[in-house]
Amino acid sequence: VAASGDIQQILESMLQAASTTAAQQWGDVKTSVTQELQILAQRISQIGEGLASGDMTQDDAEDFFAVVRNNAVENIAMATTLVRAGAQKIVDAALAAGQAAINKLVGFALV
Amino acid sequence: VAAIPDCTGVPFSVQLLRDWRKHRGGGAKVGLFARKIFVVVLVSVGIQGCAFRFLESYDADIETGISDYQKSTIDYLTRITQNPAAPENSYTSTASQAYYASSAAQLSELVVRAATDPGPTCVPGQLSFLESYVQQAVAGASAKSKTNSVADVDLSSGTCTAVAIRVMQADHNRMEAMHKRDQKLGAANASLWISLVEDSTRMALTIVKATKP
Repeated sequence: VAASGDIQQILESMLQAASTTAAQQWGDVKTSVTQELQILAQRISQIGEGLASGDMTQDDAEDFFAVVRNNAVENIAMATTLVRAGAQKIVDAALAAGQAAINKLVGFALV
Repeated sequence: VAAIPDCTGVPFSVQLLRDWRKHRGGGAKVGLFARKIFVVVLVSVGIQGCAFRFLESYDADIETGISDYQKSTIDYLTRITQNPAAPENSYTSTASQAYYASSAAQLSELVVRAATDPGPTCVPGQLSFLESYVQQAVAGASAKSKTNSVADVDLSSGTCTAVAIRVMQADHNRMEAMHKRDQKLGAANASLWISLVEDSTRMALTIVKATKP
């Protein structure tokens, strides 16, 4: 009974650390992805203006749209990385909390 | 989320658990203190021995390489926007040929370097809804402008760092193709290229910096 109580105590510390970190991480990801999507929309508008004013040819617009599509792929890659980095921080925070709980339990820096 | 587990401590923990159960089942009396110590050892071995990597490794040379490419490209394009009579505006000029040769080599080196990382590929998994949303939005705008372009890079072509660098390389190839076709890039197009290169390198740097431990 004492053993399962100890596990519960360690687990609760880890879950608390994980949920706090997750909330912070999601805010950062959302801000970055939203900003980059707004910029993509701005670039599409600039291509339209360039075509309308005659500053660029239809072939130029074709290339620019391909670049916007490439950058949209990169935006997803960025979102994926930020989510994974967030998950990494959540796991690291949970493990650090688990270490702290163990050290507290034994009364010295075991891990 | 894809993760690469490195759980060297887990088999040891499982063995400890089996040994404990065997001793308990065999009638050996395990005291409260001993059990407490056992739980601590079991969990700490798990914590220390089982690290999960969700990301590719951080590479400082890639970060520097992206910044160097950004600087040289923005410098080159800025000379065109400031003075359309500058030699850089002409594709066949010595300045343009030197720029394209050196930047292509720079990007090629970065692509090779990023491709050697064995980290997880950039397939977004839970974020695939975002991928289809963004691609549909861009495709709609492209159709309105009567263009039929497709992306040159897909997310399965390596780690997210590798995908970002391949995007930079593909964008660069598009810029050179346009310059070669039109012979003169022009101030308006050069200005839009500056924005697009800044967007691409900013996202690439965000990706690389996020992999920092």
